Amino acid sequence: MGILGGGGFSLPVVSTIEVVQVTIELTETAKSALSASMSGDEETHVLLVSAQSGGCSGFMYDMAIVEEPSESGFQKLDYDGIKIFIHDKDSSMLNGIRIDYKDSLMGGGFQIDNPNASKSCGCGQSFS
Amino acid sequence: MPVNHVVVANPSADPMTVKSEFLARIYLLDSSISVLKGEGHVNHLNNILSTDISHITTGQRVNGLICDSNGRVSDVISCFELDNETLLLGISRNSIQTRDILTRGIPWNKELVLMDGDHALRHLKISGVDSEEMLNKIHPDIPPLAENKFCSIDDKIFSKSIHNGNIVIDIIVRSDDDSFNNMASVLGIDILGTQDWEVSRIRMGYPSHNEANSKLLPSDIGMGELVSLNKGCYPGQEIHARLDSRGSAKRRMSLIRSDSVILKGKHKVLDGSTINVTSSVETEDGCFAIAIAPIDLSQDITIDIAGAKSELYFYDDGF
Repeated sequence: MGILGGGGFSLPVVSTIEVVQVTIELTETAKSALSASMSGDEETHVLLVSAQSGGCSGFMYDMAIVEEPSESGFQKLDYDGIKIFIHDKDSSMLNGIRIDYKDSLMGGGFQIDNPNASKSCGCGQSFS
Repeated sequence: MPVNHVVVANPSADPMTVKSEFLARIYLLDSSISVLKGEGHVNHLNNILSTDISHITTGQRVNGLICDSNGRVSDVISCFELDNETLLLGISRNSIQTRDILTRGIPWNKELVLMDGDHALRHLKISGVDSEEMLNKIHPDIPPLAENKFCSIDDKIFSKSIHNGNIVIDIIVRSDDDSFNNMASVLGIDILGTQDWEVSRIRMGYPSHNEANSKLLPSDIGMGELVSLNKGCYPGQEIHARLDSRGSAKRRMSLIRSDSVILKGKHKVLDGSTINVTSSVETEDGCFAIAIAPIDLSQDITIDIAGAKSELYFYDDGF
């Protein structure tokens, strides 16, 4: 039967997740950098911004340019033809973020400023 | 078993006897028991724990810490890797927070499930100098146990670990399976409860909620070995890395014994330093307590807590 086969486990543990209507700020430099990265794929690809456990402060950001996901549960934002997707699950953590791009050899790239974060790590990739 | 520093108020006390040289007993604990399953579950855990468990394989046990972003310990976790799922033992009073941490940060595209096993499984623990002999007496079929692994027999998990030089055996059984308890009962071995475990865990320096409550650093509670500084980011990593680069720890967990009651809280000792008593229990052999003490507390200092002479011993280092 196995150690886990005896029954008695309660329903999966689920944390209550607050879903909010997301607004984000995308700076002009970030918009330009995204357009360059998408290189004409704006019709079929989106910028997916998400959060998951990890990083020095508890949660870490993830940003990826992916083909438009078919799954439900995403909030879809459009910035001059650049589509940004954020999952409902991450909406309360990512609402109000400002995505910027710094063109610098050291410490450059996309950067997220999060008003919901009580603390961020030094590299800026995680928050709590 | 080495004793690093002994502060003697009562020179006749034998530190070995005070610390942990007691005969094995079995305890039924109220640990938090959870099971995390789904593709990528080890990676998810590895993002959260202070310990590198990325290479854990079926049959292995790895102990780890959950820390907050300030590097303070919020739970001490033992991970047992089953087939595509990890059984997690934690401190019961920390279970709500720990389960929240484990579930809130699940990536949107991962089907990870955390099950509450508190009612489905039971956690027993044998501790004492002859722990292995007691286990073999109850269950002669069990092969010699190796550290960092576990053995699964008759739907039961047996695992040995060494804590502060003491052999501790964890046993996980299904709640509907009384066979282990019955085998112990036939031999006249009582299964003790959490009150009795409190005495044993304090004498061994085993942290509970009183020590793992988001106020103390891993090194404060003898858990520095459960921090992997080269595994990459995890909550608290920045703080741990900074502390490591700045030098040794400032505080250390210690055992105090006194003939008088030792109250929890901060106490001044005679050299002016402060110790913080986090756990305390009264027994017929006196009062035992865990205190977080300055690491440089000298050997010849007399500990005087609220007017009562007390002996202080530093534990060896954690797991």
